Amino acid sequence: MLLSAAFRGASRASSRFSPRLATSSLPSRSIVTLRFTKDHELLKYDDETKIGTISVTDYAQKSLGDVVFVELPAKGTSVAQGDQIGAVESVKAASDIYSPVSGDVVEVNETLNDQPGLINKSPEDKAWLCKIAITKPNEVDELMNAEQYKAHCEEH
Amino acid sequence: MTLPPILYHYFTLPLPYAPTLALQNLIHGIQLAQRRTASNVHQDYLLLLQHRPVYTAGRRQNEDSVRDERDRLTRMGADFEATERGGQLTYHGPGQLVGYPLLDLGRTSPAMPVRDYVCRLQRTLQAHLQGAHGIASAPSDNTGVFLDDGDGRGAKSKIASIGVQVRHRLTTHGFALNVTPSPLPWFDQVVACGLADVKATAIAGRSQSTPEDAVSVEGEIAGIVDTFGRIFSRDMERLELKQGEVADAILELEDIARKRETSVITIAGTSSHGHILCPPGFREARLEVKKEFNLDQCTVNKRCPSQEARNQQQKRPARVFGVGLASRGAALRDLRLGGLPHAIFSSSINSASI
Repeated sequence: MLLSAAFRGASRASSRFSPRLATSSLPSRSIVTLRFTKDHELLKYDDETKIGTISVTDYAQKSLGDVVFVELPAKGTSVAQGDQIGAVESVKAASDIYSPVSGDVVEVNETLNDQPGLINKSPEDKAWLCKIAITKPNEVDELMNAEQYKAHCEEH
Repeated sequence: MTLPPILYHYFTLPLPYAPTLALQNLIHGIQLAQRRTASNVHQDYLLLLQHRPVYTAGRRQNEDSVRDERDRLTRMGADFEATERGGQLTYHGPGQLVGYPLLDLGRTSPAMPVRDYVCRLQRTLQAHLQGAHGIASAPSDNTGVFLDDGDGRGAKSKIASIGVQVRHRLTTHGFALNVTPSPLPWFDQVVACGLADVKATAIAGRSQSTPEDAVSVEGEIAGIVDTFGRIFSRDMERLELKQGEVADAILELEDIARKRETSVITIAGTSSHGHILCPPGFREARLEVKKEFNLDQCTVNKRCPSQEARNQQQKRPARVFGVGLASRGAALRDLRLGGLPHAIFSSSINSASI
């Protein structure tokens, strides 16, 4: 009893101060939309905070091979949809990454500087590349959903 | 669905690096734009060429980390360029075959994974070395083509490098294969590709089929094109430079290369004797060179017939003069050579190249 009360209290407190935290600790209440691009970027969009987390998909990491280096955008950069926001290097190939949406880069995943291989191990979760404060939410709807992306991968 | 042929073009003159990179990016832009409007209108290309002496850094190396190297190497007379390709520091120059496949990996269904593309480049080089020269490559965890040194200690030398960039599934940059011994002393000046224990090697001297003196970059073209087509399962067709944006850009680059034709003076490491290669018909080299050198002693002596004969075989401009120098550690840049645009001069590099 005490435990669940404490839990409830904690989650309420965190939802007051940090909605994003609430989202990740209570997945069943989050409104996170998953969207995909043709170039195999993944966008996890929280429409409460208007923050989009960008990563590459599992399909992309398989195609690349062992990642040895990740180039990330600078915090504070403004990007337009389709702008190059970084690159992933594997087996002597540098593959550019493009932003699925327009917005401002508010956070980059510094872990990838020391652990680029995380992209192979956890491409869509721990190895997120950057978070963007989205300025044109309607762009999110233009992207593919999971089913469409799966079909795209099979065809292409 | 049959795929269109890959259009290849071999540049006969060594090309300066920066304008060649601009050509690659121009073709990339054209492919991207054409692909957006209609499928299979855009073409795939394979550019084959040599570069003028240049060291290039890859994407990982930011300006701070390469500044010292840049200073050191440009003082030796080579160019230095930072690029967006994968891989680290490497050298390109005469005697080395450079290939830039500009392909759309998304032509096939499913698309060719980047990893597979790099693997096929590697296999193309390995198969060519085996088929044309009887050279067997050694397996390695590193990307590129390595040969066993046969010293029983497992030491390896690197004969070819790979470094590519992929944007929207369109490739740029590519591979470099050492053919003649010319590039090797330039590699000795740096730790290439981040591999400290690995020396560079070349086809010349290792070939089972072709004597060292007869090996040339031009001689490798047919075999590489053939093998490339086989490994990538594509028809290869020579690019006709008749019309269109790409043909125009290629002709423009060849024009630039012609205008920047230089003579390279290189000086042996063990002695202070070197060679100047000049276009045929150039008689005044001896006097001009003597004037330009800011060294205590400089004697321009007789022509070197053996070096000239070697150059004739490789169809290089062939008037060669010997140059004796007092100080071995000297390095000069931008030497004016009696009317020729410029010459690169270094005292520590032992190779004769254009």
